[in-house]
Amino acid sequence: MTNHMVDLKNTDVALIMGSNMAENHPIGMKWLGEGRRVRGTKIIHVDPRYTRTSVVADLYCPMRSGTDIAFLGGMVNYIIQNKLYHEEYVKAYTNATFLVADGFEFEDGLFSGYDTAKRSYNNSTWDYQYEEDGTTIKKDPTMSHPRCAFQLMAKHYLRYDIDSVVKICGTPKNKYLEVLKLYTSTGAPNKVGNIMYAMGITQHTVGSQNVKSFANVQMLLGNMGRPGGGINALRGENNVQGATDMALLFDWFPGYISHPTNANKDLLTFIKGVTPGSGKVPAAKGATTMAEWRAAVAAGIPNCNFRINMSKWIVSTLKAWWGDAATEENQFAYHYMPKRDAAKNYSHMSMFEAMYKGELDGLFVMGSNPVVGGPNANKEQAALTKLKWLVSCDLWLNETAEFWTYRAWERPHGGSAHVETFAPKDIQTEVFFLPACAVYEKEGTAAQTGRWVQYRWKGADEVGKSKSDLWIIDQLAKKIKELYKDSPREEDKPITQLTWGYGHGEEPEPINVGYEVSGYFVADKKPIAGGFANLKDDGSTACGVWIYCGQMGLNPDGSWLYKPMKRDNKDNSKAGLGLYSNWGWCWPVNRRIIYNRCSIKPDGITPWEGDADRVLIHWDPAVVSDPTKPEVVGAWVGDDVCDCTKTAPPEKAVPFLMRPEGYGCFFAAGASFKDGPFPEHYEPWESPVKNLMNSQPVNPATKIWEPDKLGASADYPYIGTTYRVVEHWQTGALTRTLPWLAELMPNMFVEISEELGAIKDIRNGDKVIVSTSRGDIEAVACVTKRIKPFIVNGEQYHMVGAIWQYGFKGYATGDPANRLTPHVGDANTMIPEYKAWLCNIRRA
Amino acid sequence: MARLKTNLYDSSKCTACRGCFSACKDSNQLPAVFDHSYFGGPGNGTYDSKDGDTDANTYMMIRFNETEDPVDGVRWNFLKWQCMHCMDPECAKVCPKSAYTKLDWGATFHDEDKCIGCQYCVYACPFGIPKYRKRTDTITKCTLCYERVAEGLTPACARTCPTGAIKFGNRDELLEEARARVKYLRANGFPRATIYGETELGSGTNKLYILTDTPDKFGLPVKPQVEGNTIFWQNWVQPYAGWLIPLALGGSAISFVTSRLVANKNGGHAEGGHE
Amino acid sequence: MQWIPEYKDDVPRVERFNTLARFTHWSHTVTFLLCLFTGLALFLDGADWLAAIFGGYRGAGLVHRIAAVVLTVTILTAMAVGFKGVIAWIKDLFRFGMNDIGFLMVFPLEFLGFKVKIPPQTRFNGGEKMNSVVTPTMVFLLMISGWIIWWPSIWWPGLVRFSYWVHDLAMIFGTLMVCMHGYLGSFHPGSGESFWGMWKGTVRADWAQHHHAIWYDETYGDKSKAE
Repeated sequence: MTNHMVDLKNTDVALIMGSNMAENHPIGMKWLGEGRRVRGTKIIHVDPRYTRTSVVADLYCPMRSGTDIAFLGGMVNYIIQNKLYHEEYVKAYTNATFLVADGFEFEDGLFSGYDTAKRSYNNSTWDYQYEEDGTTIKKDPTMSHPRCAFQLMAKHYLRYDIDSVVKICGTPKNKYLEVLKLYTSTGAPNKVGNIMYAMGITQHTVGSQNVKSFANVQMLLGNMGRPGGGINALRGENNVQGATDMALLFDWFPGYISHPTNANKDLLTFIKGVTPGSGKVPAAKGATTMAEWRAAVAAGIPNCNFRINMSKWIVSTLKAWWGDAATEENQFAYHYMPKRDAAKNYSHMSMFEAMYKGELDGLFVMGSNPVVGGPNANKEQAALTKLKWLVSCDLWLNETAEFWTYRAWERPHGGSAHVETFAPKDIQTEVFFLPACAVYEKEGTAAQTGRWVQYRWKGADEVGKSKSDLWIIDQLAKKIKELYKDSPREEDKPITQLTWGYGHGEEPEPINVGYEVSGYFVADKKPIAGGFANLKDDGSTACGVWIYCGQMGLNPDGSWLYKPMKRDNKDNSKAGLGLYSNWGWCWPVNRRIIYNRCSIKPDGITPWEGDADRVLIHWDPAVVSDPTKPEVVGAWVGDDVCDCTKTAPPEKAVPFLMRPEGYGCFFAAGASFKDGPFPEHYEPWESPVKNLMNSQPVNPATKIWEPDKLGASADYPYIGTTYRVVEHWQTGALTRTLPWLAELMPNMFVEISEELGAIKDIRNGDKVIVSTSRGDIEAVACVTKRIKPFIVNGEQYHMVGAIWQYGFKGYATGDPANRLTPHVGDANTMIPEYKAWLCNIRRA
Repeated sequence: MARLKTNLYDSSKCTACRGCFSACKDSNQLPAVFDHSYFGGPGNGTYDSKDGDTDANTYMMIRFNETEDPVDGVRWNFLKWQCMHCMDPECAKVCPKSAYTKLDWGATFHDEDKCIGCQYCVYACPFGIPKYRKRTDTITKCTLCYERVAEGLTPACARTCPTGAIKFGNRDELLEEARARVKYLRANGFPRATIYGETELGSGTNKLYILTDTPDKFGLPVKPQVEGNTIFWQNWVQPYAGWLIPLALGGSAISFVTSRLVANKNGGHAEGGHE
Repeated sequence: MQWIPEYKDDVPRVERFNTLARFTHWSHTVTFLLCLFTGLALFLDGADWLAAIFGGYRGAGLVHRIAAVVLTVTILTAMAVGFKGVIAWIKDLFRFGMNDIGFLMVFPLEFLGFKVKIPPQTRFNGGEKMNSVVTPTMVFLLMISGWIIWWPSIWWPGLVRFSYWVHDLAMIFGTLMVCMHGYLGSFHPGSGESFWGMWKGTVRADWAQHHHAIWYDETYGDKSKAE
């Protein structure tokens, strides 16, 4: 979330798209209700189904699964054609005025630089036009130049007229118009709209571009960086935000820095690779030592912006990991760090594909349940049989821990020919089970969807011999270090020299982890209370994750102040914006709403017309922010922590610090996306209709693992999608074992429209078989008015909605719906396309 | 009489997360009962559990009512369903054991220790709320968490509601709030929004509802009333007809005396009567 | 003071009720009274003492149900076994005539002990006929409504609500008749031998001739011999 949960109350119009917020984020929903109460917030819900969220929405608009870009592209077109954009905002805070390189082209669904054989783009033409110095981007302040980003975007989306969009999306035209009118009303300077999304947006082959479409809409309407605005990803698990911050994903180094690959032979190559613009500065490009690099940075790197500090963050992290062993002489132990193979992908699907081929020996599954939650679960379950060992760490023996049992291989009607099943005697995988504590039985922080890091104290004692995951990891590390402690070998040094000390006894202390994550000065071990501005790349600072730097502060008496533990529930904002800056801590630097430079006019002093209450920061030309530097006069002050250089005057304070160019990007230049600078509509991998926008059937940059498993619409005529219910959580390992929750939703069910029920002679409560080219499941049919067929290009298409949270363990049981979903995903993130595939349904 | 305290349920805020359902079970320590055979009520295609009605182990639940009409399209109306705590509770009237009492702050309290499981209340209740629990041979129903309220807490359902759809407080204040809310809803897309429970059954119920549509769209009786059979039974048969028995006994006693007095003149039993 | 007339076996006696009829009558008496008293514990307010006799409400409920089962079973069995007798009984009820009306008209006086002239009666006099119609009707109503109340969940709720007052009202009228019947059949001086007719099966011939002239004549008198 760019904003946070409490901030939802500040919005004028909330667009919930691809999320069943009421169902999956019931607590967050409360703040939209508060918004309705205090400022009459209007809620729009766009979703293939009428859900519990639609009930509380003012406007519900159906849309065929997988057509978000068409829907939002139409909105972009509507905004531009009707001049509904927030012009001053767009000109000042985005790259709309930037001129795009002449080589950039778009033709029939393909951007320039496409390599058909590799199914990937060469993005060299996705760039700006530069002045003679080669670094200053050419701009057209009037936004009329045909090569400016704004005009290119206008041209790109001209094809997305209302009639074409409703033809693709199967949305009733009147509803679409209502959505357009209501949401684009937030283009007025005194109105702010908020977009909330979840897996309905991301779990597509075009998931990242779906989100990019949001960005386009929000920037056009001037809704980014303002209270009540933003693009807000509703996290499905309470600490998903924290997990990605800590680089749980394979391609990240802590703090959203690209993880080094085997191409990054040394530290400097790595740093140069992640410091944008460094390639164009000879001093930086040619630096061979850290000292030379530091000099180049001091001299400045254009089009790098805040990422110029990359080396400081990387070195500090390495210093946190290897302590005294990390010195400038040994490149701060950079070589100790494992690198990934640049040619390989280690995402969930790739990992299971590799496992299926027998390339993996062991798997450590922690808080995950791929037999229920993984796409193409039949294949993933079969892949587990190829392992030598499997460690499952969960509260209960879940479906993954028991994937080898007879029950795990039961399939409807004994299975079908194309689905592999095994008998327990044929499975050689050795399974270990580590009983884990539930969330209330352990201490530590969790970063919620609004980036708030909050400490949680233990609420109950652990059951039996279950242990917290921190304890498990800590013990694992200690045992490994113990095994290697006498090893003299060079290659064992990453283990022997790894810093590891989070408590004195057997129990690790979460606060010590927090201290290392936050960072400290190597010399005196004092926390870096001032935040990441104090990080250095000379080895004098250590910091686990730079964006968390400063979460450990200092009390006046010198003792640690762990800010996530703060519990001051007084709203510090004068206008009642609900910032609650002294409740917990929020990364980065306790900035509650990021890009907040945009909450005020470019001059930094005048509020947006009619919106004085929603100003987060403003420029005070008279204040001296740092008493030690009285010569620096003028600073950004306000309720929130400014998201720009604190002392940079308004004309220099760029609003999007982490973008190399410093501005919001309609045209996503360079390597931002693997599948194009502008979102373009492609059908899901399995779709019953052909693409009406271009001749590309599917996102051209997406990796397709199993071309033979592409279901034909003749065999599988119905659109399938998966989703959750409020009564169960994720794979249901927890909730299906809790009687009170299992009782509420005891059975696996699929939802179909009354029209499809009539066609297939399926009545409510009937047992049905849903099948795809990957497998089939049995479920109870829920024939409902809430699902309606879509009229796409004049023809009727039906949808089958399946709850994916069931498995064979616990009280509430049923077939996992993911036995149906394909092994295909987004081109950028590799998130599987759970939300749109083809299936057939019949009575069991 | 103490100030009335009640629950206000606002259907326009409810998201049917069913936190109240679980909180109720937790607070009252009610077991989960599994019936894998059901999914919703037959033919209604909803998420209703327990066929949409409370039972011996479920004091309250959220009901799901799907409606569709050409103007509003599909609507999914949620309703929190439990004892209405009527101001003039019929259950208390029919209970032969006075197991029901109306607490001064408004709860219709059912004392399980007094209950003998006769189930009269089950069929007297205009909402069909009290349910017979076989394992204890008693009736069960929502208690309005009287123990919690006695301790100054709010009922479990209101305590847990994340969206503010369930509120606990003084009835007069909540009624004011409900009136304002209904006014707002009527002006904002729900022209038929209404309050339920204020005057229903004449004296009202001690559970208030803000409904976004007419009560029938929520599966509530539009005009709840006590069944004629029950009224006849309670108002006529029970208080008056019973007097026939003492009348018969008294008559017999008079006859016993008078006939013997008279018979002594006219010859008694020994003669076998009318000799 | 004398409660009931003396039993005399030194006078001619004629049979009035056979064994089956008597067994059914008395078993019905016991089960009905058990049901009545256990039921009254619920019907009357503050009748805890009544329930206490049966070990509390649970005990009373149990006794009520057991008695109800016995009552139902014996009545239905007796009706099946003594089908002929039942038919004869019903036939006699249909012989309701002027003599019965006459009986009922003068009955209040007799009830109080006055000597009255009563028209000749069949096997059952007008009052007994009334009892024979009302009591079994009420018992059948009690039985049917009782069984509905026992398993309310399998019936339509409206029927259960209906059954509640039917059960009550039938109990009241049934009890009313039972009270009168019990008194008149035993303790009323005018009823004389009728108690022994149901207890021992036989009544004094002279009493029978006097009280149920038509029946006596048809069964034991001239008319029976004439046949």
